[in-house]
Amino acid sequence: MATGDNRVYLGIDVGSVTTKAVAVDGAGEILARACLETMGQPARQIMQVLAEVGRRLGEAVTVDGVGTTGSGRNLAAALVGGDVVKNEITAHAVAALRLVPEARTVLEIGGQDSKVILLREGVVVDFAMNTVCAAGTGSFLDRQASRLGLDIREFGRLAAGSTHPVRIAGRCTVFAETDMIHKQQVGHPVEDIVAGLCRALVRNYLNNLAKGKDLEPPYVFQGGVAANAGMVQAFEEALGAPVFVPEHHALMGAYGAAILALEEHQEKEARVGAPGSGGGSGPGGADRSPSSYSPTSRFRGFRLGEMDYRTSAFDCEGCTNQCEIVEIFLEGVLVARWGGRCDRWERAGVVPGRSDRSAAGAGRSTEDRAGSAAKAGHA
Amino acid sequence: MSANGLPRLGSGAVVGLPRALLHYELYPFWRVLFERLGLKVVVSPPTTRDLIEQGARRSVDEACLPVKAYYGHVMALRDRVDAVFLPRLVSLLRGTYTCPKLLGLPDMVRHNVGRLPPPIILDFDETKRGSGLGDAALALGPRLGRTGRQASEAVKAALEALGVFRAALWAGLSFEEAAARATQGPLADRPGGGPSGEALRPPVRPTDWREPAALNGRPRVALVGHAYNIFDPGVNLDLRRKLVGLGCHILTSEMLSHEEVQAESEAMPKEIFWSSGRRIMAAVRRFRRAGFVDGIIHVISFACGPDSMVGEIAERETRRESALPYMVLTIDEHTAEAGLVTRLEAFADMLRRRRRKTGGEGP
Repeated sequence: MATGDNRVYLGIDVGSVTTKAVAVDGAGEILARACLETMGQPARQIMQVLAEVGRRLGEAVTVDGVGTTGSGRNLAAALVGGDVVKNEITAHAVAALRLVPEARTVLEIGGQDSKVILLREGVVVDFAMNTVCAAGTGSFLDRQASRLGLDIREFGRLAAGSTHPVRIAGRCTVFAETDMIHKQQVGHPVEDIVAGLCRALVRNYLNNLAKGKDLEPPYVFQGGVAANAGMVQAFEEALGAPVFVPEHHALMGAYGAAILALEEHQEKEARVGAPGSGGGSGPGGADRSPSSYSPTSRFRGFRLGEMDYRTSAFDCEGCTNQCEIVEIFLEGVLVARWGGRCDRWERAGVVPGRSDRSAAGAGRSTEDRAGSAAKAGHA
Repeated sequence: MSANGLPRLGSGAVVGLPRALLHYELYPFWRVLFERLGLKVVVSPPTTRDLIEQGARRSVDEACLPVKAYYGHVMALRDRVDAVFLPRLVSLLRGTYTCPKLLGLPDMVRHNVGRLPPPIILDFDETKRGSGLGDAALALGPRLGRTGRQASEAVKAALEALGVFRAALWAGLSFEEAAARATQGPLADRPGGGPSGEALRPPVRPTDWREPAALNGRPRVALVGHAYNIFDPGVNLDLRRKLVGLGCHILTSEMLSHEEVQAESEAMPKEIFWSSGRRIMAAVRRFRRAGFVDGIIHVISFACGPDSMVGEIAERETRRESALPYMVLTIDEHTAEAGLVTRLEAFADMLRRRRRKTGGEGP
């Protein structure tokens, strides 16, 4: 390992479509990674990517920090024991800057959202994120590829090979689809249609999301959609400059979260004093994997995948806001609770060993029980 | 109903004030006015999701969220009051107007909300002689069967309460704090009192926002927008609490005095003619010039005509004239909490990391 010791930092990105995990060393080099489709079961997939990363790390390592990001960042932090919970904009910016310190624009398109982040002198100065409409994101491209009977990888390659892309309305995906069907019916070749679609999506991205913003090179394109050569080409044409796609473009959120965990750990050490102060001889609790225990991290260990977890939800009836309160249990113990507009439930506290909610009154509830989610190979 | 179109209300009758829209700019005035006219005042409960849903069902589709909430507030008052106050606020400042939805509001409510208690509809229009806030309110007393003397004393006390309220807001107090100062305690009980109200109370805070103290690295965020979007947590998804939770110190567009608003406004090539828009624009300019504001968040109502224009002008000007981080948050009843939180977190991170990078702790 680059730093000569075996301390690692984990980043977990729970997106709408995929769940990713990355482990980096003290120098920020990626040591292991895993990616799974979220499939509407983020908790299970979090356990599985974690187990997978643990397996790939193989040898005994100490996890000194865990960062989580993505729309499921709170869930991931509660389950895994997260030290840094960050929004995906900050995580993506940090990741891009680590790889391309001089980057000035980050284009990010994921499964169901898209972002543009402007950087100047290594800091975020502006950003935008799509609001209610998921037009032009990975899910839509996926759907169109399958409608045309194409594999999504083939889609990008075909689009990049087009010589005469057709014009397709880019505003709304419903209209884009109508346009695509029309172009098919009049006989345009499929590569020109998919290339036209890529152009339309890029136009939509630049005119809506990046409206009024000064996009400047160097450009970094990340997120799952960056795998699509047709989209890369369409961006390069529209921006008139090369667009850099990092090798691990789909893992950049998780990578950024890992870097944030690393940074936080370094700051913590700078505050406390010498690295590893507190020693490696902490009270390795029964629920922690001794080999991954660190006095500075809340990480619960790679054996987490063998633990029972359960989530349940209920409608708070304290007022007419009807907040949906979610509770997360690990081995029957309440580890997190959120979802309220007020702090009534957060205040009621997450007391280890107490899983009742008598403290604040009850409401209607639904439960999602799951057994041992994944068998971790690293014990 | 009496002949002049107002309900006959004896002493002790209850008048309901909807806690929505310009309530957040004029509440102490209304409260003191009606109380001095011998009526009891009931304010509708705080905005909740349920109340918004109720209101949205009655309102026209193209209305903004705060207008929909207003309907809900009127409905929440229905069975609790003898009359409901539906002011028609045409103009609150000479040379400016409120928006068309506010102009038509009493009529829209009257025709769309069933079982409405007798409405007290009164026009306020600073652009017309005798129709300004004080003058129009003065006409209310006799029309409710009160003497001229009672009426003028009520208006005087109400204007005074408004003065106290505004001075407190301008110094940086929250809506609740400012409203409490203006409507409770000896001042509201005392007819007449000092000329402006300000002199009657000690300064509200040792230092006001214009002379900022060190924040120990906490970013200073200016929240600009209509008072009802800035102050109503039920409408803005508890934006302020979220930002404070993220470690931000908050300034708002309601903290500018009339004089500050006017000075900024007059420096523009053309003045904004919506009263709220003029304040928002002035606040953006004032905060941009302040030097100690780290970022501006403009809260906009989806479907708001004035906002769509003022927001665009303010954003373009800010980007042209400065490097100050500027974020527009558009809110309606469908706004997803998760997306909002992500944006706020990213904004707060941006300000903090920026500070760290430049090494400037700021004042």
